[in-house]
Amino acid sequence: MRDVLELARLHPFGTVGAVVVLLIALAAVFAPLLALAPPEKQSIAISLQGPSAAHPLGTDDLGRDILSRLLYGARVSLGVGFASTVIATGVGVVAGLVSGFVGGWVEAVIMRATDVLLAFPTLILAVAIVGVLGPNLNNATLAIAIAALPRFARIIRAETVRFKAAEFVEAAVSIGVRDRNIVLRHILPNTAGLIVVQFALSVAAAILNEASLGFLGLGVQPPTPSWGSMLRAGYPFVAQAPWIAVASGLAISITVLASTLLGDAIRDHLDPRLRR
Amino acid sequence: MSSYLLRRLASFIPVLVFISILVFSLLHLAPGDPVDMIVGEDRPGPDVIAAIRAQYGFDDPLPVQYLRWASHAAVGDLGYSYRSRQPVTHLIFERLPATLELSVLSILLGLAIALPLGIVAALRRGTWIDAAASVIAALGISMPAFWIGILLIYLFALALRWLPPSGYVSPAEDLVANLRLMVLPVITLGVGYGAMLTRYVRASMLECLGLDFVRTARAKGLAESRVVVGHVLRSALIPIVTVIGIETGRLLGGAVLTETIFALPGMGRLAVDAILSRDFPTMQGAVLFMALGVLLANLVVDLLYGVLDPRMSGAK
Repeated sequence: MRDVLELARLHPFGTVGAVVVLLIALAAVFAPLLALAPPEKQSIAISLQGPSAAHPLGTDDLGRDILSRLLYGARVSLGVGFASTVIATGVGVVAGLVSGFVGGWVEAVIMRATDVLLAFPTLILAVAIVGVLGPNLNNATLAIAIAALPRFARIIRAETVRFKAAEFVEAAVSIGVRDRNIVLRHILPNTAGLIVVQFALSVAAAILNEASLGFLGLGVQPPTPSWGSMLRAGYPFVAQAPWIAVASGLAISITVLASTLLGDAIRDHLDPRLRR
Repeated sequence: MSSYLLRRLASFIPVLVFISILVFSLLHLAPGDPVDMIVGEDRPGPDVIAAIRAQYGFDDPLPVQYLRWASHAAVGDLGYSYRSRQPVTHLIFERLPATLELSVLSILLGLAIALPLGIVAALRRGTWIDAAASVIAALGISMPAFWIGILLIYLFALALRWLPPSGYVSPAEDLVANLRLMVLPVITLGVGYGAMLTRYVRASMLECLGLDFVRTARAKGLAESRVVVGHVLRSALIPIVTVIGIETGRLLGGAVLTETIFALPGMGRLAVDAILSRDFPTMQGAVLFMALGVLLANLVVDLLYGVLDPRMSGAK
């Protein structure tokens, strides 16, 4: 407990970020208990109503409760953000370790592949993948993961190359440790800090990308609520019912901001070069 | 310098080939028959469809189709749009000016935000000014461009009626109208970009402030303003310029969203519309062109290194 308080004192912004992310995650998990109405329940009689006691954030054009939709939308945003980053981390780290350790043509092929992926604007790449595979939750997750993957591969490859030349790896080689064990037992643990930092920073970007796909109509499909698609649906009514756009945009911004602050704090804490 | 430029250009060719293969194959992995896209709703008889397949070469093996497409693309022929039947190159060049104007103005606005904010934050490290700048920057990168755009439209176009909500007029046609229409899109894209740059400017300035030559300059008795501008900023600019190159892709992604909100006829909108309507040739051309833009931006950055740091002009 004392360690936690010490961390909180060192990184006040990061602590705020962590608390907010935790609260949003809890809200997503307990959405069925917290929501005032089912998120897909329509009632044209109360469409485009402003905030009230019955509907604290108002209703949308189909009379659905905005707060309830935001709570359920958190599941999509956090779920896609987290799942896509897990996939990107898994594949990217393996690609980075293999290319850095094996070298030669394997490295050349993997690195040219990351060059190619990095040359595409992230969002365009994601839009192209979803456009080809069809818009739904899984394809959006996959597209965001593919777009995030090359950064992991690049960073881990550079670290692997660095550690491959380190004395402790040379020592392990000289006593006959097998390649697989050198990579898994000696190199991978040393890159763990960097992986955690990149993971934390990527989650924020992934949440933003999911919202962007949703806004373009390429994310999870209606009637399932997502913050990006709520903003898209609220945009035509911004003059009569600005609360739809304000609430869904705020939800995205607060979540991304909290994840960014948390990611920054993790980076500052784990990267001693930045601790001056 | 020229041989360096040639070598850099040559190193792009394999990447460009891989990109073109990816763009080509990605779209041919898509379910659905491109003939359906060409003929539209009223599906003609099988002989007409066979004729279309032969005309477009859809029956050839994919490698043959790729080589034909790539060899034409290499000389600037990207085929014809399935939808508008116009040459894709023509569509791209029609859309290029809006995206270029939006991107360049947004980069300038981003720099106008990031340089002062990042420099002051670094010089006043650990003070409330630094904390405020960090929070502003974190806020800026967290707000999605499409949300900023919608709020700006609501405030300045619908509520206050100071600026038009959307549309585009060529600057050659009417410069004032063009600039009035570009104000909100440029703020939409430039604020987030500037926030991202601020973080790099601050980090880069901090890194350089701790270096030996800065201490030397101060020890020589140079005025602090000359140390900051002449020494620290100059070397801090190199990583900042790199970031501008690397983040061209992010800028273009933001341009897609910005063009969507403000109904700007740009490249991003062209690519998304083509992807959504399965207009393969336009989609391939637009995506290829944007990837080329990212590569070119990185080349320009490489060349700028030589200007900012003479030691690097002969390097590599």
